Amino acid sequence: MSEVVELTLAQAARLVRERKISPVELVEAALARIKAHDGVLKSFITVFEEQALQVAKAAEMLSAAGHELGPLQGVPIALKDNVAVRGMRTTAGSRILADWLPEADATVATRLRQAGAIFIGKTNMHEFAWGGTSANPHYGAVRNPWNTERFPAGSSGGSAVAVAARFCFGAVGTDTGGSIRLPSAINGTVGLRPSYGRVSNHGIVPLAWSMDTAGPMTRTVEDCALMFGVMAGFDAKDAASAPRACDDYLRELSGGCRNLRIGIVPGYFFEHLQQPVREAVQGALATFVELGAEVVDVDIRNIHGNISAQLTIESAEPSTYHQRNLRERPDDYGEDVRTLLEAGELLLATHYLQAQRYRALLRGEFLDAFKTVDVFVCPSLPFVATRVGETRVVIENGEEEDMLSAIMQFTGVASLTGLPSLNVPCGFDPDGLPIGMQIIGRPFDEATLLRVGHAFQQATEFHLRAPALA
Amino acid sequence: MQSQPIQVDVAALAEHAALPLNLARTAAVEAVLSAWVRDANELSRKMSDPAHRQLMPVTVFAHAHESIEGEP
Repeated sequence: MSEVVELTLAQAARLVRERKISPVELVEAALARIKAHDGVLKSFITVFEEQALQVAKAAEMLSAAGHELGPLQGVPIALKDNVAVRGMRTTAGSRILADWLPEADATVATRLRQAGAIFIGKTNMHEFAWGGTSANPHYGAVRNPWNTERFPAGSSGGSAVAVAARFCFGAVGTDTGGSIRLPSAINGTVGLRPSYGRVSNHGIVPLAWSMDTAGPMTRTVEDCALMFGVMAGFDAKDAASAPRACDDYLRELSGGCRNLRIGIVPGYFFEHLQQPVREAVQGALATFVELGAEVVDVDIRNIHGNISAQLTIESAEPSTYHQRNLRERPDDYGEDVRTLLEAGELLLATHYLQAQRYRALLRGEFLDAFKTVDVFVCPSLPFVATRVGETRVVIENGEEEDMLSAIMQFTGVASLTGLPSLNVPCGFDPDGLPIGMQIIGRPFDEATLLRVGHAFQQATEFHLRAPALA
Repeated sequence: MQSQPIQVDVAALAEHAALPLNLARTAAVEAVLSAWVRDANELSRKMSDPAHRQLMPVTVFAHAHESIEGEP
């Protein structure tokens, strides 16, 4: 593997700034790797080969002339294909938007550009982000670089794979019910679902308005903090954007986790999961204790019920958004998404509103718990990567379960409550498949999540392992 | 123990929603919706408990700010 693609985002940006490496070299290395391996992995829908090289050459000239281009200068970044990029095809993984050329960037795209990032392409995803497998019927099923017979999870599967496979130095994903955290866990990468309202959703094709977020997907927590600092912040174009100042996520990164109080909910997050996942997350908790943290059992009385609430909200809202196309162009949807959209239309208003009341209840219980703990740690999902195309999964005792409800069992909590949640790689199963844990924090306290995740990565090496691509 | 999925009259609901579904689509939707509705009804029962009377629905987490027309 080229040494260049093994650089972290932070390292690459520093070397460009110091003029020790050219943005052209970074882009060429990324493009070569995509060309060599993405025919199998299908992590990209559109690769910006020509444009990325043009921008890289311009960045090289400006850098040589002494211009500072921003904290991400010259670094190739990918964006999930539901994030609008001006003048470039943005499909949301769909046939419905197959020919959409946005007239303007999404806000996150603008901010990344202004920080000097070079867009290498748009990543593949579950159609309209409404699913957790990234088995896309229109652009090909994304495959897991650790084992190409396995799925990469989703819906930001392409972004996670592109990062894990070293096709880019970071990627943008979106997370409604787990779509950054799940593929990050399955692919051994870092992914941050921020507090609802922390990162602008303007210019991103919605899935569920009341739960949608966008966030960074990277190989290290330091890289995540670097990207997040660029992406986060108030945006008047997004009605749900939070008008509060951001922390300096990099400055607070190295604070360690001595005296940190970590909450766990043993009656939920550690009850129904595959044994390697249980062992990996318990191992991570032991590491945190060695680093000076304290683990505290917490009872979240009404945590059961979160899956139903999530399914109700996450189906009613997209079904509303897609009402017209579902009637005018039903055959242009993939079978699974079409069925979910049709079903979502038929839930009752009272179902939806009771689910929204449940969110208030659950959020209240977590906010109350944060009086005694600083973060929660739990698995990101209860199983490791299953085979591509499977719609059911076995977690325990040979019993098959529906994939959609099973996969969102542990990610729904942050989605419903609006709390930030960071996936950090914390182990591998006996077959070498990655396992991830969530670190869930107080509203707008991403700085603590990043500090804790960084401390974990300083003490472990899970994030340093790379998949061997064929 | 979780109760069995309930029978949902998808055809009637779809007509009510002006959503054209043929027989095959109706069957596909029914397979998904029956479990959802069972669980959603259970959550509705739980949330109807007098203990939760004061809870308002969280439609969005609104972060109040003013957007003055014409401002970038």
